[in-house]
Amino acid sequence: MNVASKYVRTFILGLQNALTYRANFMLSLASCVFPILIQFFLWRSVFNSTDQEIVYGYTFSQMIAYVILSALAGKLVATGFEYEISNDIKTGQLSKFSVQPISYFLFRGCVFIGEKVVQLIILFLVFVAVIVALHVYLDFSIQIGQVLLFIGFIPLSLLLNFMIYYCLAALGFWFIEVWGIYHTFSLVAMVVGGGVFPLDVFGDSIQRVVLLLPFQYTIFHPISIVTGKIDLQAGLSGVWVVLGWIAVLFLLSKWAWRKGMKRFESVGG
Amino acid sequence: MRKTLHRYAVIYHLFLKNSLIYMMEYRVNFMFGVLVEIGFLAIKLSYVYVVFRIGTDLNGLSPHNILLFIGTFTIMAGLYSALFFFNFNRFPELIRSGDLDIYVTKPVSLQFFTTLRMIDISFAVPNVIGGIVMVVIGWQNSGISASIGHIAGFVLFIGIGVVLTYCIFLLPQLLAFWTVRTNGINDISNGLYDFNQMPMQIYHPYIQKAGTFLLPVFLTTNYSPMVALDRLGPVEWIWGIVSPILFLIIVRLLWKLALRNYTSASS
Repeated sequence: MNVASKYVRTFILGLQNALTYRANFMLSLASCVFPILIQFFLWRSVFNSTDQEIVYGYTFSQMIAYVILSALAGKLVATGFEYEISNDIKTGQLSKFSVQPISYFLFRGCVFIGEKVVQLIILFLVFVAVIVALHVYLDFSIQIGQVLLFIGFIPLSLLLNFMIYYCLAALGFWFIEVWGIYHTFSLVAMVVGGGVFPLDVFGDSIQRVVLLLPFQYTIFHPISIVTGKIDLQAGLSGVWVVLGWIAVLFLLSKWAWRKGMKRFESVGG
Repeated sequence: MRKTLHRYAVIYHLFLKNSLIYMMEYRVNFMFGVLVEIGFLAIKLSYVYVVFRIGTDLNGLSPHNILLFIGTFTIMAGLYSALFFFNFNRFPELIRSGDLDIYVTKPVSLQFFTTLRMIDISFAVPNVIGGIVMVVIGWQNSGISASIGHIAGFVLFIGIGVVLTYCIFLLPQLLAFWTVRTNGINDISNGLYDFNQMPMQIYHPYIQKAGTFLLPVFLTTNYSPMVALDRLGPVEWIWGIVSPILFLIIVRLLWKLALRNYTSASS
C-alpha cells in the first residue's frame, strides 16, 4: 500500500464513521435550536428595551445571524478525538501505531477530516438556507464576496481547531485522567472563541486578551466575515494569521508529542 | 408510613455516605467535577456580564433582578448534577444490559434505588456556591427585605424545583424501556431546561404558558426569585404547590407502566 492510499483509507474510515452516526449528528444539530431560541428572545428584549438600532455594533438581524451561524459553526468545528487519543495513551493502544508504517498525526487528521466532510456538506446546505431565510425575513444583507470568503475560511477553522486539540491531547502522556481538563477547556474555548456571544459584547480589557488567542478564528472571525462585521480586507488578513497559528501549533504539537512519547510506558499494550 | 419514610431516609443517608467514600477514593474525579462545573459557571456568568453591560431593564426586570434568576438557575443546575444527573445518565444502560434485574430483587423501591443512588457533590460545589453569591448580590441590590416570609418562600420553591426537576428529567428516561437509547431525547430535555438561563419573562407568552403548565420547566427556577420579588399571583402559588405532587404521581404511574415493558434483555 503506497503512502497516499493508506491515508485515503483512514479518510474513508472517518467518512464511514460519520455516515454511521449521521442520526446522532442530526439530533445534536437539532439541539442547537434551544440556545438559539434563548438568545433570540434575549436579544429581542434587549433591542426592545434600549430603543437603539445598533447594540454593541450589531443590528438586530446581524445579531440573530451571529447567534444562529455561531451555534452551527460550533457544532462543525467541535472535536472529540482528544478523548480517543488519551484512551490510546492510557490503554497502551498507541504502541501499535508506533510499530505500524503510519503517522499517528496524519491518521488522526485524516479520520477527523473524513468525519467532518459529511457534516460540512450538511451544514453548508443549512448555512445557505439560514442566510437566505435571514435575508428574506430580517433583511439581512448578503455580500457574495464575504460568503465565499466565509466558505473558504471554514476548512481553516477546522484545521486550526484540530491542531489546538491535538496539542491538548498530549496532556494524556502526563496525566492518566484528563477528561475534566478537556471538558473544561472546550467550554472556556467556546466562550472565548465567540461560541456563546460575539466577542464585541465583552469589554475592551477582556477583548484585548481574547483577541490575542487563536480561538476567535474558530467561530468569531468566520462568522464576522459573513455577517459583514468585518470587511473583506480584514477577513483576508485573518487567513494569514490562522495559517501562522496552525504552523505554531504544529510545531508545538511536534515538541509536546516528542516529549510525551519519551514518557509513554505502553501500559497494557 | 412514618416507619417507611424513616427507612428510606436511612437508606438515602447510606447512599450519601457511599458516594462520599467513593469521592474521597477518586479525588481526581472530584477535582475534575469541580473543574467542569467551573467551565459551565463561566458560561452562565457570561450571560450575567452581558445583562449588566447592557444595563437597562429587560421586560420589567433590572439587571440585579435578572442576576437573582440566573443565580437560582445556577443553584438548581448544581443540585440537578449532584443528585440526579449520574443516575439518569446510566439508567438506559441498566435496561440495555439487563442489569436492572439485580435491582428488581432488592427489598426497596426500584424507582428509588435506580434514580437516587448516586450522589456526586463535586458537581454541586461551584454551582451552588456561585449561585448563592449571585442570589445574595441580586437580592440585596433588588431592595428585597430579608424577611422570614421571603426567605421561606424562596427556599420552599427551591425544594419544589428539585422535585419538579426530578420528574421532568426522569420522564424522558422512561422511554428507554421502549427505545433503549435516549441520547437524543436527553439533548432535548437539557435544551429545554436551559431556557431557565434567562428569566421566563423574556420569552413569548405562549412559551411561558407551555413552560409553566404543560411541562413546568420554568417552575423549577423562576418561582423562587418571583416569590422574593413579590411577583407570584394566587394562581401561580396554587399551581406551584400542586404541580410537584401532580407530576410525582404522573411519573410514578408512568414508571409502573414502563416497567411492564422491561424484557430483561442480555441477562
